[in-house]
Amino acid sequence: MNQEKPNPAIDVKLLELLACPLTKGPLTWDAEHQELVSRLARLAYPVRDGIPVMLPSEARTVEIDNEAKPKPGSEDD
Amino acid sequence: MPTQDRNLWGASDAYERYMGRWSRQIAPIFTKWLDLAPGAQWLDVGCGTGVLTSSILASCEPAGVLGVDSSDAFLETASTSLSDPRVSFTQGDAQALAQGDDSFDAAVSGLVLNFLPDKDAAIREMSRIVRPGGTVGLYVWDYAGHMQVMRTFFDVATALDPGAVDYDDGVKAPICRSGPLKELFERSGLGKVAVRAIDIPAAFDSFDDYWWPFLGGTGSAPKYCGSLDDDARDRLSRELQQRLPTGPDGEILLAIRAWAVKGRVH
Repeated sequence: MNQEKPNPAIDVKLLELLACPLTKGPLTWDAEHQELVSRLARLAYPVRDGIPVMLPSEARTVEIDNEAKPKPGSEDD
Repeated sequence: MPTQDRNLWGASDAYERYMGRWSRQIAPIFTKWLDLAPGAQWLDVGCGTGVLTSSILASCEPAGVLGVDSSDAFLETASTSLSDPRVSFTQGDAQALAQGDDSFDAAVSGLVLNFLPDKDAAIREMSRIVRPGGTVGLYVWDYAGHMQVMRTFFDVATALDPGAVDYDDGVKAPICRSGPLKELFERSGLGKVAVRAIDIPAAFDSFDDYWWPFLGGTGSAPKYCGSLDDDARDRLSRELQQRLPTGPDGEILLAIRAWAVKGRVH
């Protein structure tokens, strides 16, 4: 009953049942920010107390190209 | 029994006493009628405090149940009270579900449909996430007919105050009848659509047992109660007390009907 969840990380089984509510596309788990990322929608959905909040109004806009090195002089500046 | 922190549990506890206790009796009859094989993956849309989800866990031998609700307060109650490893919860919108196509065997919903602005979108979404051959089903109260807990309330309220009609789901929710439910499902492309009435008795120990939940629950009648000043609310309470059929020990026995509808995904 009183066992604590030290890390409210998302259950893999639950992740498989989730998709972006806007694009219906897949989500990836960002462990560092504890967020579910929809690359297509460029949105990151938060997970609060282990419960994914799949509402675009609660999601954060994210830069998707942050893994790639920003090219100097790229078009998006 | 629900005692912890009153502030935290207020909304859920009030809902439980207002409609949850009756929905708990409807849910097992509904899930039995759906007749799904064991091992199914279920989605409960608008799971609230977990009434329908707990019934699925108790009687349908599911592989899993995912409960979706837009309210974080209800989800906190549901996830705290249901610790079954087969169940998980997600906050989301019934009209834009966060699930992939064809990923469940059944999408169900209890007492939610009439609160959704876009009902067609909700049924389309439930159909989308269910795989071909799977089931979409839901139930709502028969507000205009044999849901006497609310029917009596609004008949008395409207006699005292014609403005009460603006809150009456019997008028506001024409979808909650057998014909419109069937049409909604058929319009969404579901096959083998069937509708049935589910009737249960509602026994209240006393007038207070009937009246108290109207003062704090979620829904149109509690909202109307909250809009009244103390005098008007007292008048309504006295009129109801006169009107309700009361037994020798103060008990009140009413009838409750829900309409249930189901269809098959092609």
